Amino acid sequence: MSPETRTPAAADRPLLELDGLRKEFGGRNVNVAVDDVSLEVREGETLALVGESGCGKTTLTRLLLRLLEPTAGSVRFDGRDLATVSATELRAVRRQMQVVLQDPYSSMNPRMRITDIVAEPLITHDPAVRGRRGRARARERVGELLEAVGLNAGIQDRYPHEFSGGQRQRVSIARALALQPRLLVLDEPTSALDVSVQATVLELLAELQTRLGLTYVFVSHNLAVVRQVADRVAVMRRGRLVEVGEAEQVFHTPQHPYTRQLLDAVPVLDPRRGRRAAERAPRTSGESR
Amino acid sequence: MTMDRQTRDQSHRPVDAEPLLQIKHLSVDFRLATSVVHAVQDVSLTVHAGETLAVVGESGSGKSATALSVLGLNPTPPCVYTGGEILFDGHDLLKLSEKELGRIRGRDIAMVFQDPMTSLDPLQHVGAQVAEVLRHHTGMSRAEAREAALDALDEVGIPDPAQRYRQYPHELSGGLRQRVMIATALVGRPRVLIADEPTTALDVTVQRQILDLLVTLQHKHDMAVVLITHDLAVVAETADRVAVMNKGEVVESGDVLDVFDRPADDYTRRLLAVTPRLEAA
Amino acid sequence: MTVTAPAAADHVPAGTPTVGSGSVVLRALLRNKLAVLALAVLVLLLAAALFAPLIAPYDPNAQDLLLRLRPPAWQDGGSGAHPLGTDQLGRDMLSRVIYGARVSLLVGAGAALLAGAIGTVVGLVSGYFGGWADRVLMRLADIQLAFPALLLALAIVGFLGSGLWYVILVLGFTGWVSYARVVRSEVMSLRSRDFITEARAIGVTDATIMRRHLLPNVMAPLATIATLHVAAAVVTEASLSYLGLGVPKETVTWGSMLADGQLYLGTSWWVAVFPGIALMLTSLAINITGDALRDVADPKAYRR
Repeated sequence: MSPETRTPAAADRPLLELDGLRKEFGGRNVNVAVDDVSLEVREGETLALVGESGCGKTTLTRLLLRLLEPTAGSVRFDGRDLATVSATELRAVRRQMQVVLQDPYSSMNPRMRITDIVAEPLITHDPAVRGRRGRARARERVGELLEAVGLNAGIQDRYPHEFSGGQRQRVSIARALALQPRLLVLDEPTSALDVSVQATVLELLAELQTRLGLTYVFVSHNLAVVRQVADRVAVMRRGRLVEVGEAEQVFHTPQHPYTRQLLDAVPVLDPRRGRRAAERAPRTSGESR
Repeated sequence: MTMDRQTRDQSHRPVDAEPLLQIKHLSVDFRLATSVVHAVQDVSLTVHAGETLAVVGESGSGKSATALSVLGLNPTPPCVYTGGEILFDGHDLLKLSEKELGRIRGRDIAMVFQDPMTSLDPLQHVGAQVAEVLRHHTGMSRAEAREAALDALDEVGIPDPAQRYRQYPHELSGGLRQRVMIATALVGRPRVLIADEPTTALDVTVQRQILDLLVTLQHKHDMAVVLITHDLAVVAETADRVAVMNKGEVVESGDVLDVFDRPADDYTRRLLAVTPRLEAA
Repeated sequence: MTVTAPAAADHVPAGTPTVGSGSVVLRALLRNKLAVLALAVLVLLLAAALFAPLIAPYDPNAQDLLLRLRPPAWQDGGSGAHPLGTDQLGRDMLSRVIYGARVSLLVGAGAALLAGAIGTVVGLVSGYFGGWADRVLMRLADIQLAFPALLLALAIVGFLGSGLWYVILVLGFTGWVSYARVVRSEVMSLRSRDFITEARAIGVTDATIMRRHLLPNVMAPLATIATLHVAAAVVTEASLSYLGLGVPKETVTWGSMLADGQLYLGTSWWVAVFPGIALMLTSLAINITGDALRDVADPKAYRR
């Protein structure tokens, strides 16, 4: 995720291609949530999708996961157009793209045990883990997955509400990894977490990406977090992409005025810079206000 | 403490100035059915007129419980105040009756919360909610309160106040709703404003505007502001002094520059280290 | 950021008792004293219903015209042979109240099960799919509600004749709407929850989502309505029997006993009052148990 650990994009062909995507909601008063979005995500990279609330970034992720039908445009995963593939093929593609959502409190069925939550993708796609013998195999695999995300394999029989936000988010990640996907859509994966927990989850995501060669679409409103994880950044506003570019470029020489506006608004973690710097200057030199 | 810090501390306020609000050795427990949570333990904080004190911490640090204690807004039960005092104007706020506190709330000490959608009454015009504070505290007539409320909406930068006055909270954007909340808090001209994560629910560009607004109004009215936040960057941008809380205790407090330059506590250092920065590391 | 081994998450002790299992719900229920009392009453009633032939001192339909309208044992003229007295045909009141529990509980449980099954399916489909399926099903519910349940019951029983199973069918088919409405609104709010989105993203089928994710999460409100419905069905059955439209005469029910007793209220109060008390206690106990169940059924209630 960070420049030193990034693996170079392997394939020439992008893993995910969005072409002219459009989504309208509502009948009489049409609301265009996503408007003519074209975007490529390369294998092994982290593409960050940033924007403020209501900019359409959530709708865009639902479109690329095929949870919503686009009004126009296409989504191609590994060269296959998701609109034209058969139901069986769509299932096969779904195995390869998984999602982790923001709120670890609502992303799990409160009445299911951890083991069933993490095993659900396996049970849905793999007949070998059904039945009594499959059950044991599923538990074994769930144990491995939990350990891979830094959790104790012995927590399988417990319920989500017994865990902290950070632990739950790890469970969500374990579940998303169950089918060995190539692409993870991370929808504000750390926005609901405390900063110290956020740091450990980001670290885990970076480690998994390097180890498993994963591709991330990282949706976030937090530019400081995006700065830390993104290889490339796509800035979205009112349903459209206003700027797409290498992270270095977007953060250093933003092209679009809206990107600049966003960057300027971010509070700076330095009391000598930022907005009150001028006000502080006389005080530090010993004069009274 | 270095010489340097002492001179700076004295520089921005008269040495003999009494703090406006003083929390001394406050301890708060939450007595739950099966356990007792020591939410706040021996916390002491002071804030002077015209000054912004930021109380920063992660969830469960006790920062909100501390803030809510000032106006006696923690739910009792399960909350029990087990020790300490909160001095304002020569009174210990913890010893005041609900009725006496009611006179202080909104007039001398006001609060702004994180989510304006749940703090505003969904069925009342926003203007009327601002006016109501005035009618409650000053006994103004309906017409006078309306005029003052319109001024207050104007002051917090709400465009076309006369029209917005008659709108309901759900008709406003998140930023405008937070402006209404601030108008409601400030219309009684409080001397202390307690802002509990006032920008956490807002987009970054709106957060910028609201923080600017808070600072401007603070200077204009020489208010003391207690800013509760989880975001050290917000602290860096707005606060004069900062208190870092962890697990119910204040682990470090002091001038913002000192704490950011030379954090004395391990927890503060870790918090600074893990907070993502926009500028490249 | 440098890559390190997966950062250890906060320590989680493994193997501590978990919630949501039956024994924990039961234990929480037992902490509520009123609920324990209500539960005891229900168990007693259930035992009375199941073992009526063993417990009841007499055949509930055995008449003894020489011992008509005897008062309860503690009143002048009463005797230990008939602790609750006898009715206008000299039948033992205690035995009749015990046998009455059979019909009442059977009708109540049967009606709630039938209505619950219909309503749950309708509510799940309606809430999950929305669109035209929702519109059609909810119009159907409106039409159903427009018929007064008791009137419908009267019409059907009048048409098909009286009988225990008819009563259950009628109460089941008139009671499903409230289940459907509650399940539908719960499902609509659950549908947008992240775990449903994640399940869909994984590729879980709609039927499985309804069974695995939605049904368990609507059980708590369902249990509450079901208990209210059992209590209401017990009373409705009594009303029908009171009107002579419920079950056949030779089947003892509290409703028909009330109807009989009404004529003698001025002189022999016990004929009407005992089945009345039984009816009231039953519906009260069911309602209290239902409330308590709702309070403890939610695993989130155990947080901390």
